[in-house]
Amino acid sequence: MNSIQTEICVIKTKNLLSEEEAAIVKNSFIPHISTVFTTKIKNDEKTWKDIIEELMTTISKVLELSSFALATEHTWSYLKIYSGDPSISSFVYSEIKNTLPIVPTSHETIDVSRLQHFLNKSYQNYNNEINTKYNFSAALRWYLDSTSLRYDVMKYISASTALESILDSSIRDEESIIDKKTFKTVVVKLEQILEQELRGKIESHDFDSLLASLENINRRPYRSKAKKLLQSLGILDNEAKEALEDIISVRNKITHTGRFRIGAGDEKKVIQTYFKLFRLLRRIFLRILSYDADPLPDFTELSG
Amino acid sequence: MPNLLSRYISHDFVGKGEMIFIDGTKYEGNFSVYVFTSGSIIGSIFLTKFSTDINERFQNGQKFSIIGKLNDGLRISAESCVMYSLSHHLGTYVARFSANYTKVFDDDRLKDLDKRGDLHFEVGILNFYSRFELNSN
Repeated sequence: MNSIQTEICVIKTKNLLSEEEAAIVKNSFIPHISTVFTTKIKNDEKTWKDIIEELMTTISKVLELSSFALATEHTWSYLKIYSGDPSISSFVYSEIKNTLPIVPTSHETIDVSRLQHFLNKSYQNYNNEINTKYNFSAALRWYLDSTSLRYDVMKYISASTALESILDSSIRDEESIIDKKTFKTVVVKLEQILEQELRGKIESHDFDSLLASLENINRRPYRSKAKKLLQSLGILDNEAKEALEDIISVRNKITHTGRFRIGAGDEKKVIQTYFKLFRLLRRIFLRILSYDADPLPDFTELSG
Repeated sequence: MPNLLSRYISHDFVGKGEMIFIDGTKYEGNFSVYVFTSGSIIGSIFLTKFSTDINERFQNGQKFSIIGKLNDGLRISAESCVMYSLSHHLGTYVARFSANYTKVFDDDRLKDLDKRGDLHFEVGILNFYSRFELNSN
């Protein structure tokens, strides 16, 4: 049955554009109020303001999932309340927000024919715990943002930030290689060695920098965190390992130089690696949502 | 509403009211607020009086609200408005602005909204082009 059941209501959709109009407008790079969601809620005990809050939280959740599925930011533009079937005579209240969500080139993450199945299944799995553990909402925004940017390096930085925000959140408890108490004793010994060997022999600010950076050597490196995450999600296969090496290489180059150029023929390296990163992120998001949808569309052919 | 714009406009509101700045200063006028199909909210207010003060507020990008009554009797408030042009037209000063947020409501019906019964909701969604129905009920 074509339906999505939420905790508080069943949501119906109505398309405002014809199929042909939608096909044209969706790739026009201009945001458009293309669909309306309608629903009915009985106000037994709650106030209408509480009901709105609950409804908009529910709709935001659906829109996050549909945004991921169709790789386009979906957001609400207006909300209207009617005391009966929607008409001018039953209109009571409306809120409208000024919003210009990003509009990328269309490439669906989930095939439209499976969207219904995806929304129903992932809606059940997408809860606050998942959101907190993996920083899902914030990472999704970076992921979607990457699809709307024009410059390869900018697209890459956004997608890379999406991955890093998931890593930082999900591996937070395993950030340190050895426990902090044990490491503290190691740091004290290392500081003594530095004092004996280098104090007075190098500039004092350089010496202080060395001391300050000792704390960082206990932090798990990016590669290690990424592998731990992929392993925990069960997707650390050869494809992921190979992609990760390219992803780290391009990330380091951009982070350290602000650009990516190694030599002739590297013009496409960033965008090719971006699509590897995009595909890896998509696998991560799907696994977080416990949605097994392989085989997925392959976007690498879009890499030019 | 100009014909050219009509195809790009999702909602339009016309009425009379006040633009109110944070320091409490008010300017009266007739206004129009348009919600475009792109999701942006743009408006114009035709000021009945002009003071040099308004020009300074325009130059400084001061935020203001619009509170008023629409021609059909509904109430409106537009929040976090910023002028993007101020001009003189046929003896009237016109401030054109963008708004971040707008509420429109029927004052009388709103008081009864917490009475038990069904509430019907319609939510406009940007960029959702999928042709399938989320629910077939």
